[in-house]
Parts: sequence; structure tokens; C-alpha cells
Amino acid sequence: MKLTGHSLSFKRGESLIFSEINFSINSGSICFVKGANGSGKSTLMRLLVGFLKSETGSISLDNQDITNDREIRAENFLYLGHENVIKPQLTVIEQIFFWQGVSQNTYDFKSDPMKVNSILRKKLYQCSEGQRRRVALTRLSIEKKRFWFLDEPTASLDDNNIQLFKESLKNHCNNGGSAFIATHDNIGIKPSFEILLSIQKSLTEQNDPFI
Amino acid sequence: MKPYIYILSHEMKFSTNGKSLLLSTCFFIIIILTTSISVSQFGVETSATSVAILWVALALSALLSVKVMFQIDFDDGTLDWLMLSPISLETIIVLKAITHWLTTCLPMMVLTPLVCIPLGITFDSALWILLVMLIGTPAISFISTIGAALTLGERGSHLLLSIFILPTFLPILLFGIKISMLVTNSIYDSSAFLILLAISLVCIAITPFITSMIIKVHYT
Amino acid sequence: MHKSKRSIWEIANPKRFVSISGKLIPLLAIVTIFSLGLGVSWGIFFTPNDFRQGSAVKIIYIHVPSAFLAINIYIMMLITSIIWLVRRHHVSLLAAKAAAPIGLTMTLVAILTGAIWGKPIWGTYWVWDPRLTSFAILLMFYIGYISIWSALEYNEKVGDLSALLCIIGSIFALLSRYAVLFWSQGLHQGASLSLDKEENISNVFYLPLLVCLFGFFSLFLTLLLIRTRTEIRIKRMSSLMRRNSEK
Repeated sequence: MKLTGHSLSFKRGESLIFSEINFSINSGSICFVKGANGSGKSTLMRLLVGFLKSETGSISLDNQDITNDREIRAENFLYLGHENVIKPQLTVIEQIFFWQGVSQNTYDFKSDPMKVNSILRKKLYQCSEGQRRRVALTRLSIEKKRFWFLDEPTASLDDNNIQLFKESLKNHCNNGGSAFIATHDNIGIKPSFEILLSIQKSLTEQNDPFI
Repeated sequence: MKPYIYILSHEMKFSTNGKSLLLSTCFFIIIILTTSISVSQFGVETSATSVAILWVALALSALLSVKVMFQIDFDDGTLDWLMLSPISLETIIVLKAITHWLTTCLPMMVLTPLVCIPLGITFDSALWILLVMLIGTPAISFISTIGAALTLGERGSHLLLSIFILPTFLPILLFGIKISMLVTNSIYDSSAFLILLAISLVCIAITPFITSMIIKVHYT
Repeated sequence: MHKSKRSIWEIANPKRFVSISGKLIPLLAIVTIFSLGLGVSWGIFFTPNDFRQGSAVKIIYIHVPSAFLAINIYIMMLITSIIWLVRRHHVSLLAAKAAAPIGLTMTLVAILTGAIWGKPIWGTYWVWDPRLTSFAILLMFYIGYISIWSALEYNEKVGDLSALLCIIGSIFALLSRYAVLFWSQGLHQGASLSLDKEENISNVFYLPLLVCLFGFFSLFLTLLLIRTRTEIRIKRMSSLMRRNSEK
């Protein structure tokens, strides 16, 4: 499967966040989205999964235009932003069971890629920030979607856990999946493609009808 | 089990785990007791206004738990995740409204025959009023989703939400109160029943789409 | 409603709107002063007293036009909100925002003059007549619309929300109105409590009333243009400030 983005751009209000984003990602490859703070990494991620509408351009999957196709995106895309998508009142296992139920998939507790077996009975509000992120990352292996869109996935993870994440990322790519990762530093992974965002010079004047 | 059963039970667990179930039901009882106590001290005939008190108390208490409907999911990213799940946003809104009804309106309705005693409504009329509420309250839960969506992401906008939403309860309240009043006087107006049912069903049918439109606005 | 001209989308450009409205405002202001002065003084001083209501009837020259505007301003807000949702013209949205307080004021004026009129005629300031109830409902939806603007900061998202709120409000206002009408059937005695004077009004009252209606309408247009210009300038100011901060 091949995901292609063609001259994507996004405006917030009257200011341009980014423009002319082109990429083409094959199965099994990883794409890094890099750039300084405020250059629109998160915005690009949210745009790719369809939470935001791009101003121009299109996204297509195997030459099929999916810019406005919610169903195909829901089938193939997984998004993990800064938020962990967890409810602090739940125990880890309740949270995992909930994800399993909604996505109709199962987490492989035997191999346990994110090593959560030891904290299964712990309430999520008792977990440390790093443990919560780890739980959040188990969702990646539960949902079994082809394209991962991860926004700073390794935030608040220690080196051991980053290693775990890299393992499961490698696994994912070997099974024909791909990943978009917005990040500041290469976490020891060689990406096959890189999108570099820079802070746009403002185009306010020509776009703002009020000036 | 289908995924939406999971979501429903998940939602139910949160609404009952948290204090909102108890709180809005307590608020309901408190409104009714304070108003009926203060009215009774002046020797005023309560039964004329008691039905109105009952309905308005129900509407106000129902509003209490509306704000958290989408707010928590919006903050912790769950709404993002649900939007990329196989379940459509409209279905999620319907599930939220059903949860709201089950956890907020239903407990109050269960208490209705009980609170009818201080309000001076007979048990027979109370059962009829319960039937009217059964028709009217689902619409209240569904309309509430509009307010929850409108004030999404705005901290401390409880008041704002009530300002928008309370007037939109008016069609339901107008019919609900009037039919209940007629029922306490042993007049059974079937056409009014049917119109209330129609308004209720129309609200249930259109609000998920309106609400999903509003939520999508928050994603721009 | 100023948008129903042929050159409709030309004035959608804020700069164009400001320059056109700048020329229109003095003209409209003169027309307003003239027609309101003529209409109100004609109505109050040069029409005979009603044989039943006496001089109290003369309040219709304020009451009827303000009630007329109160309803129509909401419809205008609805139309401009829809235009905003469909065509994304900021002026349209700002016009709806600017019109809301005028509409609220007109609703209040209509209710107050109605109460003043009602006291000598009906013996009470307020009855739950369907029409009075409708105005109470209208008042609530004006308050709802204005409160979203006052609570949240101006941006496109809030614009969308306010436009949707306006549409939802009109749906539920209509529903409530019909709910009120449903129950008032057979309860009221119609004409004697009805405020609808147009049917049985004679020409002596009718002509000055028409002038007053026109005067109020032109007053609304003047205020709307002034307020919309203010809104545009506020928006322009924040745009300029943002541009400066970006440099």
C-alpha cells in the first residue's frame, strides 16, 4: 500500500501554517516529520488523519483519493497525539479491554510488546507519566492499523521503553505497516523519508481581507 | 459484543462511577423540596404549579451533567480516537445521549412518584406524568448534546451552556407540563401526547447531525 | 437585509463595505431623522384619539415598528449567518454580530411599550398572550446569541458556532412558538387581546404608522452599518497588530 500526499497546505485564520507538502510512503517505511516548535508538526499530523481540512492538495491511498473518505481512513489510520487517550479512573487492564472491545482486536498479553503485564491492576492515575505513555502505546499493537501517525510518541519514556517502542515499530514495519512520526530527535531509527517543516513567513497581508 | 455496546458500558461506568449521577438526582430532590416547602408555608395551593416545578427541576438537573459529556473525551484525546474508529461520530453522540438519559433522567423519573407526595400529586397522576416524561425526557438528553458540543473546549462555560440550552427545552417543557397538568385533572388529550412524541422524535432524529456538525467545527 | 442588492457580493469585501457604507451612513441618517420625526410627530400630534382607547393608542407608532424590527432582525441574522456558513464572507458574519444587540434592544422596546400600552387597555402590564410569549422567547434567543459572542473571542470557529447557534435558535424558537399557539387555541378571545391592528386600523392611523415603520427600518440600517463598520475596524486592528507582531 502506498500513501501519497500531494501539495498539501493549511491555513489557520489568515496565517499559513505550511504549504506544498508532498510525500509518498510505501508499506514498511517510516517517515519523520521534523521542524522547530510551532512549525506545524502536530497540525500536519492532524491534517493527515483528517481532523483538519487541507486548504489545497489531496491525500491518496493506492491512487485512490481519500482526502474526504472517513471510512477508509478509519480503517487504516491510527493517531496518537500528545494526549494518552486514557481515563485515569480505570485500571490498565480495563483500559486495554475497552480498546479491544471497540476495535474488535486483541492485545497479545503473551508477548506483551509494551511490558504492561506488571501494572495491569494499577489504576491509571497511580501510574507514572512514563507508564501511562507505555499504556497509550499498547493501543498501537491492539488496533492493528496499517498507518500510524504518532506525535512525539517517545515523550516521557526512558531509554528502556524507547527500546520497546522501537521494537514494536520495527515489528509493525516488517508486517507491512508504515508510520509517520513527528519528533525532535532521531530515536536511533533511520527514516526512509523526512518531511522538514519550517516556520512560514507570514502571508497575512495578501490573504487577510481586513488589511 | 458490538463495539458500541463497549462504548455504552464504558460511558455508563464513568457516569455512575463519578459523582454526577448522585449529584444531579440530589439537586432534583433539593429543588423540589425547597420550592414546595417555600410555597407551602404561604398556604398556596401547590398542585397547580407543582407539575411545572417537577418538570423545570428535571430540566435544570439534567443540565448539570451535560458539560462533561464531550469535554473529558475532548481533553484526553478519546474523541480524536473515536473519530478514527469504525463508529461514526453521530453514533457516538447517540450513545452519549442515551448514557445521559440512563444516568440522569432515568433516576429522576424513578424518584418522581416519590417526590410527587410533597408536591401534592396523586399516585395515579404521577404514573401518567411518568409516561409523559418517558416521552419527553429523551429529547432533553438529545438536545443537551448540542449545548455540550457548543461549549466544548471552553473552561467554566457552565453558565453559557445553560443560557443556550434551557430555552431550547421550551417546546418539550410546554407540552410536557401542559399534558401533565391536564392528566392531574383527569383529562387525557391524546393528540397532545402524539405531538409531544413527534417533537421528541424529531429532536432525537436531527440533533445527532447538528451536534456532529458543531463538533467538527471544533476540529478546524 | 442590506445585502439583498444586485451587487451583493461586492460589498462582501470589508474594505469595499467600509467605503460604500461610509457614503451611505450620512444619507441614511438624514432619512432616518426626517422620517422618524415626521412619522412620530404626525402620529402623536396630528391623529385623532381612538374612540375606545383614547390617546393610549398612539404608542403604536413606537410599539409596532420596534416589534416588526425585533422579528425581522432575527431573520436577517439567520440569513447572514447562513451566508457566512456557505460563502465565508466575514462582513456577513460581522453584520449578524452587529445586528444582535439592535434586535435585543428592539425586542425590549417592543415589550416595554407593549406593557405601557397594556396597562390602561387591558388593566395589566403583562398577559401570557401567544404574541407576548413569542417575544419573551425571542428575547431568550437574542440573549443566547449575544452571550456566545461576549463569552468567546472572535475567530472563525466562534463565527461558525454562533451561526449554528442562530440556526438552531430559530428552529427551536419556531417550535416553541407553535407549542404556545397549540395550547392557546380556544383559550383566548382573539381580536380584543390581539395586537394585530393592521386589519382593523383606519387610514388616519395607517399612514403615519407606515412612515414610522420606514423610519425605524432606516434607523436600523444606519445603526447596523455603523456597528458593522466598528466590528470591521476592530477586526482590522487585530489583524494589523498581529502583522506588526510577526514582523
